[in-house]
Amino acid sequence: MQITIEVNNKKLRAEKGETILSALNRNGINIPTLCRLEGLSPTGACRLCVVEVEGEAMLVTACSEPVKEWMKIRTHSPRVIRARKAIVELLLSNHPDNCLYCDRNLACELQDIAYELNIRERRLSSDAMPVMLDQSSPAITRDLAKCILCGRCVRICEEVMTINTLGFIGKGRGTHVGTTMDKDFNFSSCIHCGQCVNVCPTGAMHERYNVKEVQDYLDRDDMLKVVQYSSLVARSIAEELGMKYSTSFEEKLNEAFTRLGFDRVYSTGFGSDVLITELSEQLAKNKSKKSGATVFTSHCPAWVKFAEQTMEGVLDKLSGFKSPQQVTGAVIKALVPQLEKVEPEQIYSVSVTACTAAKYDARRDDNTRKGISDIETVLTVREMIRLLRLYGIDMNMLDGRHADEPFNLKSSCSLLTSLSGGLTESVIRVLSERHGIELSPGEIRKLRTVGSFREITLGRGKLKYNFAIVNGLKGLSQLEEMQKKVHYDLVEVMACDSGCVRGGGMDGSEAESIVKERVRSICKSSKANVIKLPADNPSIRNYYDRWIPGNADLADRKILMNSYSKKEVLL
Amino acid sequence: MANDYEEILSKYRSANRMDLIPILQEIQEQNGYISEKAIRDLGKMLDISTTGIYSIASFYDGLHFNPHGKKHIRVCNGTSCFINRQVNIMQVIEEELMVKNGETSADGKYSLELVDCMGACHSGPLLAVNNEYHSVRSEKDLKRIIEMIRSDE
Amino acid sequence: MSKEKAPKATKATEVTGTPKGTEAAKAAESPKDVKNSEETRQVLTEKVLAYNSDTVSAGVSSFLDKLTREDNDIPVISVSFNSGSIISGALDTWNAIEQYLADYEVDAELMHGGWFGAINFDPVVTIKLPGKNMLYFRNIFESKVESLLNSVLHNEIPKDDLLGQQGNDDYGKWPGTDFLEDHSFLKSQKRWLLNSREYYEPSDIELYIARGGYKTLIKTLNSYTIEEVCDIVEESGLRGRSGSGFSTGKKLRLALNSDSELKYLICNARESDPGAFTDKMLIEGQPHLLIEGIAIASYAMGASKAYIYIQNGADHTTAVLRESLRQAADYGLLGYNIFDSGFNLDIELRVDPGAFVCGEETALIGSLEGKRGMPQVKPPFPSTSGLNNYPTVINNAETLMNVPLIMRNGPEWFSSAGTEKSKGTKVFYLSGRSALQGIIEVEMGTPISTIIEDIADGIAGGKELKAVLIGGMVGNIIPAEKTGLLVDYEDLEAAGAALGSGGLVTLDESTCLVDLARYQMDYMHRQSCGKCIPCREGTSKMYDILSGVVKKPPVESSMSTLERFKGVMQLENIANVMKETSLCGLGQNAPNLFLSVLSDFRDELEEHIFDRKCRAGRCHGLRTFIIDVDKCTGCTICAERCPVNAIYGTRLQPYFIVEDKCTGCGICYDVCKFDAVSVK
Repeated sequence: MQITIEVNNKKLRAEKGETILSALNRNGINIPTLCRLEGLSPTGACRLCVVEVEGEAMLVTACSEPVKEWMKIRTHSPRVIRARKAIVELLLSNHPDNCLYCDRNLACELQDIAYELNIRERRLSSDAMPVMLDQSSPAITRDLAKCILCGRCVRICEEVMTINTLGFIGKGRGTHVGTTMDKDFNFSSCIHCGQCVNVCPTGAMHERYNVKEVQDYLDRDDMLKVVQYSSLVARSIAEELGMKYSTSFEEKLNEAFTRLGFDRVYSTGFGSDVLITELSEQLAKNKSKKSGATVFTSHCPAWVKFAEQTMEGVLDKLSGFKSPQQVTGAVIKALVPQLEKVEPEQIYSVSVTACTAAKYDARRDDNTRKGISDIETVLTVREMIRLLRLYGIDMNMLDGRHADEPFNLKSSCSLLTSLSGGLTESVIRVLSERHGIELSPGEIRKLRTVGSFREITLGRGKLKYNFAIVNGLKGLSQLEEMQKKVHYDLVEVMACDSGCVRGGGMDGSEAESIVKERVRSICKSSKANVIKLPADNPSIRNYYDRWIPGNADLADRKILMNSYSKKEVLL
Repeated sequence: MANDYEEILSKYRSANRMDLIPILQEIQEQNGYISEKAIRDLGKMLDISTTGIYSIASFYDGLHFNPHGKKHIRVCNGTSCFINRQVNIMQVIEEELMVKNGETSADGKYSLELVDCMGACHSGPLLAVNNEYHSVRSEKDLKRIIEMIRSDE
Repeated sequence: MSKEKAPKATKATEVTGTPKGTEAAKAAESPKDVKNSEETRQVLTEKVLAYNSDTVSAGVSSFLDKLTREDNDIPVISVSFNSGSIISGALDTWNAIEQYLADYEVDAELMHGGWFGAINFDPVVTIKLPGKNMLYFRNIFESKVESLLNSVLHNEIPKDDLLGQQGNDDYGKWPGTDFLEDHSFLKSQKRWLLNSREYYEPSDIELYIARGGYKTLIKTLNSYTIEEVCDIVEESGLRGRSGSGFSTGKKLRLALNSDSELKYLICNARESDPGAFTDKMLIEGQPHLLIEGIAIASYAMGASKAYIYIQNGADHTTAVLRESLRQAADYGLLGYNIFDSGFNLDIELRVDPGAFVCGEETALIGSLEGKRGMPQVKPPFPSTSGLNNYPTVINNAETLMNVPLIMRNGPEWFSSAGTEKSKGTKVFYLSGRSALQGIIEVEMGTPISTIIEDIADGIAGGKELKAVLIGGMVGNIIPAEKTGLLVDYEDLEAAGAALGSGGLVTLDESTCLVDLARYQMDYMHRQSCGKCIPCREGTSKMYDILSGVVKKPPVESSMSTLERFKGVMQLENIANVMKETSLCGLGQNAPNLFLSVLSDFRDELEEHIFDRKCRAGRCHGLRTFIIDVDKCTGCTICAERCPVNAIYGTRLQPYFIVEDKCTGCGICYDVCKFDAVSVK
């Protein structure tokens, strides 16, 4: 039902039951917020969205107060602005001043709000909080001095990811965000998903920096510098640079990597295609052996860590295949020395990724063989953009070039693996082709719907495959319920809702609209891609037919596999 | 020592989140403090993350993660005791006995706590050593009490 | 009493966490000399509680008189047993009396008493000789026991320690002895909740029933509908005794009308002022009145589960209440189908794990739910969605204790006391610089000046009242000239204050109000829940700025002076924004005390800021010391003890103090044997 409210002396229509804030936003009136999180209930912690409501003695928070018929609201009265300003000044009084050196300089919500409120002087001073860096995690660095206790990271960790690694500790002035017993991050149950980084309004949380080491290696002539990235990464970089994504953008990006000093540019899509092929094979084998085993996917490193610390029973059901990044990385280190006539230790392998957990993934024991890491450095999209800016590369001015052989081509299936449910869809395509069965139109539609849990059935009778898709760790509880009734052949789990498209290494992942656009764009490209199945991908054909037979390392399928064990952390 | 709270946990087998704080209080009463292991075991039982429990327990002044000292010193922070005080009791004790508010000294001998009104304002400013109460009317009083705390160890 | 018979309700109360009971608490748990036999129980349940008339038969009546010790064959002696008097040495007094009775083979009964009120008089000992009025004696420490008993047991009254006699004016009267109610401390009070006739063994249910207790509950359950109870409470004009003063009857009705199968009543017995002992004192003296009040209110709103949320560290209060709950459940006054009324009630005692902010409703609910006690945004309000999202009514102990009185005596009786909009009485905890301190109860509408001059007997040492702090940590300072204010919701609100916690602290010239404001902010910045920015950062910042005002930094540069002034300029702005934007009452009211200092004692604040002087001499950090060269012998002791090495000199020559380094701690002043150090 629509009602009328009066905002700044103008009549506006509002929906009954909605909050003042939502009514204002829909009508193009912006007021600052620091603690609000899309999709979650208001906490009213930051008090920045206060407005003046006629008849109320106090200022009210627009995020929590429902609209009432004929409510008279003033959003920018002197009283309101004075209050907002004072709140931000209070926050700034012990906030470090070194914005120039901050991760979030120019991309900081606190900075933006201070600017909007015209704060030009430090009127309140006190000792700035001492720097309290926690660099113990391979993926995420925390700096408590910059934390403004908005609680977004705590809520996303608890309510969305259901990990509960972060919590408010203490009270009063001593309140801070921390983990159990105030231990360092690496002792915690953090799965490195990076969602906290995405929602942090300041520089209190960011990915662990690796830009400098990449720079150092790029200067070295004695190394073969190789880089891999996925199609999603290219999309996200285009997004950030304000450019339109297309295959030619990807070609320009290849050129950009070359300009940075990389000798070879590879596609992570290769690893995805290998993964799809191997996983389909595993499922088909299980079916023919009538083993009845349930296979859980293991391509999401955050999910794998979660399983290792909390779901001991699932560990032996994990498919065992590494993530596409690590598959590609392992094959690079095994094959490229042979092709390029270099020693494995002379290859410096970098991966650019949408995910912060990928940094942790590269540090797993399985991903180092004979003392040589499969991937030396993992950069997030955010870091990559920094590197491009640092080297003064204007993407608009570049001519394109193709990625380098032998990991230059990818199938349309490989594109899908960065979506939740994408690996399942790809495996279904391969199996359909193999068995000559098809998915019903209804089931196809179900594949790409949203929701934290989905199930799809392929084929019937003896050749019936049941698939379950757990979209975000929240869906695990539904899986547990469903597993009591249904046997699944494959359970795909991705830690983040919607998959890698919401990765913690890209700006914008916290906004629903951007994530949706990424999904749409990937589906579109996948449809347009010429190479449909992994088996049609010449890179994959070469890999199986030409390279494996001639390379002892590659022939050892163990290089594609991880082993899992119970991880003791403070849950 | 490690399993001192087993019995409490077994009593609460069918407990839910609402029982969390009473359980923590009981564990503390029995063990003198809440250990990391207790938090972990309790978390498993109630299906609450350890961060969750630590977060909750750290919010409350009455729950602590270190044992109290042999001599637990409570200083009344009631308004009446404050306005009647002649000497900054907390500061002097912190300096003399090397222990901070809410903490236990490194040697485990003393712990110090600032508490709310104890209900005997007329004899304030009040200081309690374990269950013995003292009026701190002057610096001399305080020195005498500190000497007394230090002696008979 | 057999434990097996105890209904279900006790189970929940037993499993709640108990802080360590003091010895005194243990003593209170097992009153020795009470006639708790099967026979007593039978009479009390069948002939008193379940008896369908307001009066009882003559036989029962004389039985009850024996039980209440109204009619005693042997001397009855009591020692006041409450948190305060235990600290004052009530336990030692108790032991001494016990010893005396044993040594001299005196056949007398020793009982626990409640409170007299004025804690200065603790331990209070009463003696009731057979057929005589009860005598109250003050400050009966261990050492005085023998002489007191020697005289009184021989019908001699030591006048020095006597507070007065209590009883009737004819046959039991002690001639030439004042009646207790004429004592200056009691004369201007109206004691309904602090009824001194209900003195012996507060937690003993038999005495409570014998004095007419729980009869009201049974009568209410049997003869009033729940709507009628809401009507009566509303009609009486009873309003919440802390917080905003919302009508209690309306509050109950709101919950009653909400459509939910589960409803909760929470009794907030957590003191909302760290400097007050109001609720705890009330409970220690009248635990069963509270339980009865909770039961009636639960019935009125349709709740079958109630919680009592009590402050941590109050071991004696907790023990008294726990024992009282156990006894009430044992008597079938709690639990399933109470006295065949069809009404069920389980009361669970929860000990606050320690957070000031849990006085706020939503924070308290959070704490009960096993969460961090952080206030939540309203709406939804607890009356529609509170504990576990069910309708919940939260009332403080004092409010609920009024309910049985209203049901017993009728709404007109209650509303006959007080002012037009504020009915009944109000309990205060009086402390600070007044001659008498402790718990008092006055009729609503009593001027504050009456409380201080008449009840509290003015300021100790004949000094002058400077101001009154009312409402504790979230309260206001009322200057002496405004103490004509009446104690009621409207008058105080108009003056910018609130009834609040019931804490009433008297201040005289020796109190520095700026330092008091700093002390209050110190408390608040540690007790803020940390959730919303204005409160968390505002209290911290105000504390920092005020700390800078009351002391000198170790090294004062022009920069730090400038910063201090800048901060002071912002104080009022921060205070106002905190008031306007904070999430809950804690943040909104945290600046009250400072703002009242600013409006009424601005000169004192400015003196601190500009002249760097404290007129009360309390801000030691502002003192500067000087060494008199004529008196100094160069003994070096001051230089050795100076914590900041601000004293220089050559041995056996006069020393001097470097003013810039001196922090004004005063150690040199204290240690100098030659009076050479003086305040500049």
